[in-house]
Amino acid sequence: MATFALKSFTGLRQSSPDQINFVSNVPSSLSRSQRRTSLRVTASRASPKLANRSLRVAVIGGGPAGGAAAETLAQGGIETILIERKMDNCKPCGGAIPLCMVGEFNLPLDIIDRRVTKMKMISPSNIAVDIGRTLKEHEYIGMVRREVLDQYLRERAEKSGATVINGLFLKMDLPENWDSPYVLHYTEYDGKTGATGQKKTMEVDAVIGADGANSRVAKSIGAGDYDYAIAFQERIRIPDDKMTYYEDLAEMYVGDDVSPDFYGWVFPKCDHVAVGTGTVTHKGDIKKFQLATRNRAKDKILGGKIIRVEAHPIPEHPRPRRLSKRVALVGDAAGYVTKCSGEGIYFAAKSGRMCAEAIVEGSQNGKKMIDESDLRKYLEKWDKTYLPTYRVLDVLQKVFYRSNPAREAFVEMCGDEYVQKMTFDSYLYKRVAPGSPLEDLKLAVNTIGSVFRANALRREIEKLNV
Amino acid sequence: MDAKWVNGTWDLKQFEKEGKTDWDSVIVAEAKRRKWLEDNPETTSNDEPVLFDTSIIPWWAWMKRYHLPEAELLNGRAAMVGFFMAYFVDSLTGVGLVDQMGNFFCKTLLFVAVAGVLFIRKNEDLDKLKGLIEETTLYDKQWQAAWKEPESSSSTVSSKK
Repeated sequence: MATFALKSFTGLRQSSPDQINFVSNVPSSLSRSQRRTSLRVTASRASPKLANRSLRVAVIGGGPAGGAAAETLAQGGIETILIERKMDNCKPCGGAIPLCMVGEFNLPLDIIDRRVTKMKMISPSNIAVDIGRTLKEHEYIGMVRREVLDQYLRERAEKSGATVINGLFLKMDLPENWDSPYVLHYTEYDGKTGATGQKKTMEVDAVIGADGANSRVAKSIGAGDYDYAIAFQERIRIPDDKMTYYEDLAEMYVGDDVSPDFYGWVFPKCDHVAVGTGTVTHKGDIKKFQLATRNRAKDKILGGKIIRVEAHPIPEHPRPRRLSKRVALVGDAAGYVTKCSGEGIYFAAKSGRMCAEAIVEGSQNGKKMIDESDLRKYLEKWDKTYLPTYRVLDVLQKVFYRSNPAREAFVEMCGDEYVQKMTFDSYLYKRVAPGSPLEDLKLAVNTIGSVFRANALRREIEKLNV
Repeated sequence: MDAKWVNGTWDLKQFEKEGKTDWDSVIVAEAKRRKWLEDNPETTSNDEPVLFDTSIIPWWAWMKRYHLPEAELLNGRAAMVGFFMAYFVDSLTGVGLVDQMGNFFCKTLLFVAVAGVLFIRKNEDLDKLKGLIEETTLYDKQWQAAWKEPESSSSTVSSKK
């Protein structure tokens, strides 16, 4: 299972020619057609009305991004087709969703397996800090099973009028003229397991690429490559008495042994725990890091049985091009995973919804053809709303994940109540809340102090090495 | 483990010298513990949690041990270089120390020198700073890449933030 998953994304890495230079040159064919149409298309108001049919949009990928996009499109009166290759796909994923997602997406509470209200951060020297004292009664981090959540969102999209097709997207023919349709080539499975499926084509006006980190839609439009981390996870069923410790608690381990640029985790799932780690820079050593993570949690997962091993790429930053003409990328396909925490589910669903809303608005509920400027509105709104969040998390990762002393300082800082309150506020409600300036100043001073002390101890360690 | 490590933290009473806590030995003991764990990572345990917080060591102990020796070194070097630069400029231009200080150009040079010493103390620091500057702007560049295409049709503003 794991080796298959690992092969697929290493293949992607090698096949893309511009993997190092992320500011990729615009593929010449696209720029030619763009120049050809530059005189024609001004604003979408000038787009023609569609004669006796609604706008047809295909959503490739049926995860949180695809499901949310398809639902919003269908509710907006657009003819929506959702193509998903594996309806019961059990994604290797942390499975944590913030509180605001439950409200914003009207998720039923039984989708949430567990409510995590306590977290433990463990430093390289095993100093453990408890986080969660500042959470109020009704606040929690929801742990979900991805197959349950994805299925629920797809069903809701279907109820709103979308057509859900079990198929594998192969490739896409780009339109020659500005009003020609996109021709999608896909293999449709008729539900029988083991069947090879039928090759089919479909013509649509616009495409939303929600097909994840190895997005084929992204490849079709030459969106460029991104740096990615590997997340490696083992699901371990531990004895009941040990499971009670993880009843509502998740753990984060930091240290050079666990990961040089990320963290190791123990997240509780429905009836087992997921123990995993990730890295960007030392992908070859991931098994070593996993062993180290299991070693650090050894006492607490002793006697557990590994029931599943899984791995998946996680994008580190957005692709250089997130849209092209009438194709837009959302979710992991676009690269909307935050740094520091590696959170992606909420942003996938939200971007799917935002993109769909832009399409509904630009086409005036499906009556008119859309063009690139409508999709650019989605990009603008997304960047305006969430870029500060992404920036802050990037700074945190750069400052606190770079070395063991930095991680020690990080764990020390997390013990501070103000830090906990700010962190949870911004995580649960997705807003960079402005705290009080005096507390911010105190926090800055404390941060500098922690970092100084940790670095001083490292110099002491180096003196001992001599 | 060291006998002075009691219940997940250092027992400060065992570090006393002449009735006062010897903070230097606490720092060294903690460094030894961290070095041991870096080389031989151990499992965490709920029965014996690690509770030590480095902030119990007072700020002046850290200053005395780490900041002051380095400051002494750098200030000594700066004083020597400053004395000879002042002598050299005086011998070349005839402008004495007091007049040198009154000149705006000299004041600017002095400011640059002080700021430079703060950030660049070893030769490696130059490369480190360059790397840092590039690092801080990288993520922003990756996000703005979507807006860098030559826009043909859009009525939106292409340059952002």
